Amino acid sequence: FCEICLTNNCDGSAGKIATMIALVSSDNERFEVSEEAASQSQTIRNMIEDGCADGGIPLPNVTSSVLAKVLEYCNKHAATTTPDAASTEAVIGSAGTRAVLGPARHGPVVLRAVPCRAAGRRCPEGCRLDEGQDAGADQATFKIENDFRPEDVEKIRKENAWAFEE
Amino acid sequence: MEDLPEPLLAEIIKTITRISDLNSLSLVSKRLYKVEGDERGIICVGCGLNPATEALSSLCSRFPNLWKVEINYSGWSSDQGNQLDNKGLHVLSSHCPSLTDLTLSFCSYIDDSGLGYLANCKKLMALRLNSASAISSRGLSSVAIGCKSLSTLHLTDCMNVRSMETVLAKQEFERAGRWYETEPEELELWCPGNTGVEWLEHLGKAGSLVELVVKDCEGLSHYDLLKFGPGFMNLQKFEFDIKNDFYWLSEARDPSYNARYPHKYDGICCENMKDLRLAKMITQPEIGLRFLLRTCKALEKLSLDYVIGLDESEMIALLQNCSNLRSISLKLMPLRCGFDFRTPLTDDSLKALSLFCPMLQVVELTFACCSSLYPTEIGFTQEGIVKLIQSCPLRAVKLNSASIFYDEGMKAISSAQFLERLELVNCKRITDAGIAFITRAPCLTSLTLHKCKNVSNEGMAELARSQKLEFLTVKGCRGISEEAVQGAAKSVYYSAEVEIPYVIKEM
Repeated sequence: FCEICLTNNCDGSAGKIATMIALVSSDNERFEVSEEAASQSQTIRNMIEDGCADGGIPLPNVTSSVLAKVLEYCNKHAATTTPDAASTEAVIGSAGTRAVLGPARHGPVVLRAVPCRAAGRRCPEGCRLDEGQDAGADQATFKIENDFRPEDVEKIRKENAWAFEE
Repeated sequence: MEDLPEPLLAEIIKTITRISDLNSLSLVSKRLYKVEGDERGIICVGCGLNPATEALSSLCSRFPNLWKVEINYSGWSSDQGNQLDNKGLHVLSSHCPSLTDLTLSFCSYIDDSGLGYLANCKKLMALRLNSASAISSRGLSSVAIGCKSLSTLHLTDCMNVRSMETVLAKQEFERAGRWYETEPEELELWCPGNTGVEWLEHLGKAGSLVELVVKDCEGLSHYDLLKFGPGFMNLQKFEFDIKNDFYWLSEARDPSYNARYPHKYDGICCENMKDLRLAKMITQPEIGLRFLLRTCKALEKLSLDYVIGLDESEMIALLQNCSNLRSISLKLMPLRCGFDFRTPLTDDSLKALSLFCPMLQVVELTFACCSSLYPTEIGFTQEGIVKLIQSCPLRAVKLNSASIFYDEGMKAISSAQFLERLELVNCKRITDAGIAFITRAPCLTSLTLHKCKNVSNEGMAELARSQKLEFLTVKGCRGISEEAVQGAAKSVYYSAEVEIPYVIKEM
């Protein structure tokens, strides 16, 4: 296993010393990965570009077991630039924690690692949205583009106010 | 996330049930807005829908798969804008193809023409009208004829749904009570042959109804409901209850009206009835809806609230036939019996319950207007009640105004193996000793004391010591203070006020 290009079949061609980035899981475990591998996550890439990566990038949402699995995924797809169109991989971490990864234009994105209520029971593919999130939080977390015009948003908010809880 | 296929997004959205969360979700992106819109099935609207018809149209195009709609104008006042009117029902009938379940509450501006549009809702299975003051029998007829899939119908406080028979009988009664001559009330123009219950007859013949509830409709009497005839065969749930001030009307019934519209008891059979409630009716000398008791076989839940004319042998025969009975509620009041007053049933009925109904889990007994000075006004004895509780696998027992039930009764039932919930209302013979006894009941988790004036803080201390209860509710018990109930159970509710129950006018 080559720690530089993060593959098992390194041919030494990645000769230049790759910049290593440290990712810190929620339980304070450090994972050293190459900048290239880490940049497959848009979130992390933004942080690197903004110069926030020194000293390690904290990922408070993600436990070490999940992060390990995610990095495994990143390694597998490190060289690929065209992700599969509709494949969604669900990776189950330990003790009922589930990380769901979806293909994104710029590489895999960790959607959310949430504890499954009933570990071992088959959860639907996809992630459990935390209750009580507002639209902005969803957009930020999932990096979904808000394609609404302001007038649209106003109209929808008004409509939403009509329907009350049963 | 953006590339997740739509069926997957839909699956995710199905797991979200709070409207506020769905609303937030719809603001995230156009795609999520669309998928969420397609998934929304249930909507509840009312005050705030402004302008009403346009807003409803807008909602119907945003949510094309709505199947359950509730329009509730409870608490509406005119400064909140116009209510939805008939045009609104037109919108629903044309833009809501999956509409299966519709509830209209306090919609004062939807009348019979509006209801007529519902005939176009081919999938409509449940219709509930609460306080629909503008609806009359004409509107119900269009629904009865047009909605062939209708299986549930609830009418509550629909004052304009009236049968001619009942209107005339009421007028007669009122005229008899006045010593002065007045102009007869303006009657709605009835067409010849218009009885006001054509919708009921039609539904009865069609046989599609499985659930029928008629409550507080002052223009309908229990005799009118007999016109449902053959429809009773397929009913699984039936409830009939009248407003208190109508109570005397049945007594004033003029037999000559009966002759004009002879009541047919032939063909009335309730063999599929599981849930039956008859409330506040006089069934003597003419039996009326009490006839239903003769043909029930599959009853699981029975409530007889102030049914005057209950006959013990009929009751026992009913219990013999209904071995699946799980829950029974009897509200009794004393009737003249020679020189005395007594509630109609005796311990024999209680014995029949234990003998013929092995699945019985819930028993509620209420003795209204029984003087505690004359314990024989209650037809049951403490022993009879105790034997019932000991011999059936009862989970829940409620006793209201059981002045014959003493602390020794509590002691006797403390051995009940399955008793989980006990409620005592206005049981003045129960003291702290009784509470101490009942804490021994092995499965007891919930105790409610309402207006039990002879239980004091000492009883609460006893409960706290036993650490037994999950739920304790204390209402209007003047011997018990709020401090005393803390710690008496895991979860406590205390109120110093007595909740005023439904008040029976004394005969």
